[in-house]
Amino acid sequence: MQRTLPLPADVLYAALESSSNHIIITDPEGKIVYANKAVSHITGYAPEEILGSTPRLWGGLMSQAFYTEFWDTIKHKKRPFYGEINNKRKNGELYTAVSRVSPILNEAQELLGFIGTEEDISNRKEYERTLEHRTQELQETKTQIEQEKVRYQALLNSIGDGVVACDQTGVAIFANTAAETILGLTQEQIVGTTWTVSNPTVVTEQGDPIPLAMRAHMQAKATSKVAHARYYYQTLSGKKIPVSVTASPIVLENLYLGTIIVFRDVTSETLVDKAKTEFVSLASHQLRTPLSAINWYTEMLLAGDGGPLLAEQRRYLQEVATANARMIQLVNSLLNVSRIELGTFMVQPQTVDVLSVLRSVMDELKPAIDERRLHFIETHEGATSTQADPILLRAIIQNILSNAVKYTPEEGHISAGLRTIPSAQEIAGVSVPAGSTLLTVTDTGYGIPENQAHKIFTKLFRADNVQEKDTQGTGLGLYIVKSICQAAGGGIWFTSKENQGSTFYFFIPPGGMQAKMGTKQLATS
Amino acid sequence: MDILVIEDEKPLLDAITIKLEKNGFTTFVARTCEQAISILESHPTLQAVWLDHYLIGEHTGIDFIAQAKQHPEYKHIPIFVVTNTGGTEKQQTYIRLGAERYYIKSNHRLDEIILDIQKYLTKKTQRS
Repeated sequence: MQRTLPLPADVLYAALESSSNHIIITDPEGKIVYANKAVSHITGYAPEEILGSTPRLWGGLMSQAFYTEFWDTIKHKKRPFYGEINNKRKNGELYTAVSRVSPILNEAQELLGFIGTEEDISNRKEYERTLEHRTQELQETKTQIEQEKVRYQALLNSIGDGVVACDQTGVAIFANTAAETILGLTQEQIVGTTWTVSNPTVVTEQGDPIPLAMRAHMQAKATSKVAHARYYYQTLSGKKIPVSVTASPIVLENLYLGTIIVFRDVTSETLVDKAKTEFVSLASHQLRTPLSAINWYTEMLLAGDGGPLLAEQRRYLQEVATANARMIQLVNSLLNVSRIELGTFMVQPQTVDVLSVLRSVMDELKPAIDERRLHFIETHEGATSTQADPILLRAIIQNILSNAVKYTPEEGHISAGLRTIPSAQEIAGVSVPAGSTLLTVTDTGYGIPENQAHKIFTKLFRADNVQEKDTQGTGLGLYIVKSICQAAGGGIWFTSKENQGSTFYFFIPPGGMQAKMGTKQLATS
Repeated sequence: MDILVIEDEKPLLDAITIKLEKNGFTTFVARTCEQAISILESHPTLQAVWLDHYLIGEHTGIDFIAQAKQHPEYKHIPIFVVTNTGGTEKQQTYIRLGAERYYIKSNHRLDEIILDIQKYLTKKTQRS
């Protein structure tokens, strides 16, 4: 229908002129007889420069072979040419065009001229080049990422610790070889499941489940800080594996993305530790028998059961008795440490008047206080009864007070204050809840050197400044006190200045000590 | 006052008996559970037993107290456990089986324990 549409010549001409494609008409020799506006626009040549010229004005950049074939096609074979050619604008800029050249033939198939159209595709070419470049870049990046992934996987798989990565919902997205080995599971069983809801289950040594909120990865999520924990993974087969766990949150620009959980099978460490503690327990226990013999025979000698003693003999025997008493105390302390470390000691809270315990310890220390001519003041206010294990409470108070006595020079001052804290408050940097029972013991003693303050509660530690002054300390007392506080609830801390004195603070929380099941009581000294 | 001392360690056994006799006791000694039972059977005058946990042989003080407290003739005899085994579990077992008192050897003087036994026996005599 369109073909038969009768269009006036001026309309057709207007259509030619308004085309965005370049259109020329030449004579059989290639001389341009017509060029539309787009030709000037694309090539940059004015119509007067174009008319009478040939397309070589902007073309002629292709090879000789190209032109030979080009002319052969359109002139001799009288067939249209279609292809991409390179051209040059008047301003020297190169561009690519898709060109179509058709011979104009009369009815006798004689050549009258050519119609040439060209479409400037240099922009498209540019896009294509950019796209190709980008694709190549992407390919390289992809290869790099893949290589890196393989490298990291090899790295993660070569370490002995189990590594599991979770996304923000807690679903495991990666597990390394060690994680598979420790848990007895495959990657496929770990990845894609919520860590760790059912497999493995997380339990205590006794097999009680540990609540989700108490596990390292949930704490890391809640606090956005690295969290550590020690508990047991129980596998499907029921095997309990002691693990030391470190969970690190992945946070990018305040956005929580997930957690990396690193865990180590501490079976052998635990066994070695247990064997060591059991050995200490056994050795200490065995030591008690000969110590009892020394104890009882010196007692009998001093009592005159073996006949009258010379003053000199009595003095020597007294030394034996004192040394033996210290040995017994050391053995008791070692046994206590082993009970703490084996977790076998019990906490049995009952109603206790802390003041009466304090006073009984003071009575016990009276000979030492008098000998050193120390000034001792006791103060108390409010109710002094609470729920506490009397044996443990006594051990704590005994340790704090006897330290004050041991480490205060002659004629120094010691004050022990006992009170109930009416409202929550911060005392020497520690927040103490309302209703706590607080014991404060201040002395004018040797003090604790500032650079050693952080070690004071560690096992077998003794500060440099007192080692020479008092050789009796075992370095176990405050470690035991701290361990009791950790197991029973409550707190112990101090402030100190070397050569001026120390203040030790101890509190029992408002509800009293927490009960703890166990098989052994701590030995009283 | 007749007392049976059951203790496996010879030096300790000697110290205990010497001190007891100095305090007016007549002592009978045993180092195994079997010896102790036979002394119990042959000496109806016994007023108290001093008992250690670990004994020579396969039986311990727990076996002794379990057997002694089963017999109507002996179950009234007070048993004082004096041992170096400080476990609460054992201590509770002894108390449950009827021991009067439980002492850790190294933490107590002989005269302390003997005074306790004497006080106990005096009170008992006054009661009866």
